[in-house]
Amino acid sequence: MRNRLKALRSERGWSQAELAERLDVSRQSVNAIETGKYDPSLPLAFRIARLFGQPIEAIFEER
Amino acid sequence: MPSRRQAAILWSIAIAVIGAVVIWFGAAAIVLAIYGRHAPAAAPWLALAKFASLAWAAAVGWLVTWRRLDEMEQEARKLCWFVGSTAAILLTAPVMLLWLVNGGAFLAQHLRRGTPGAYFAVGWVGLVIAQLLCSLLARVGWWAAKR
Repeated sequence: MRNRLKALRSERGWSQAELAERLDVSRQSVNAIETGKYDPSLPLAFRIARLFGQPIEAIFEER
Repeated sequence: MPSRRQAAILWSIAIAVIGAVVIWFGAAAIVLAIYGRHAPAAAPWLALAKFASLAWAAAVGWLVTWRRLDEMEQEARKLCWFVGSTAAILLTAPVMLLWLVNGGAFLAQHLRRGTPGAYFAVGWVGLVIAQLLCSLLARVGWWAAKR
């Protein structure tokens, strides 16, 4: 899956650690999601979408 | 400065370790005060105290910590334990077969007390160590792939 997580995070000026804290996951998880090495579960994807105020499909898309 | 998540995990590990020590030493002190230092009747109660201490450490250290891990870490541990355990069972099977050659002469030579209990303990501990080592190797592979 491709995602716009890094771009969205950068727009808000958050570090990976800050985003991790807001999502209640580890910084390593944020890094792995951003680099496409880990696909989040549906509940986490919903949390990400809620945090950025966008629908899931606007953040994640199939490769 | 650890994050909130890391602090919660460290806190649950500390509770597990401190609780296990308190249970073990507290129970041992009570048992020894009642039965005396070398009384045979104390042995089963001391064993029970040891079990309670380990059960506490396992319950708090493992179950509580597990719930505080994030989903990627949980997935990593599940996968690495599955891969590591399966690999360990497959890898140790030929070793066991070799040990059985000549009626287990190799084991008898290296074990001072060749009792059935000692053989069982070697087999069980050997498999557990192999599972832990293989899981660790799987974890290194996971870390290299996901970092």
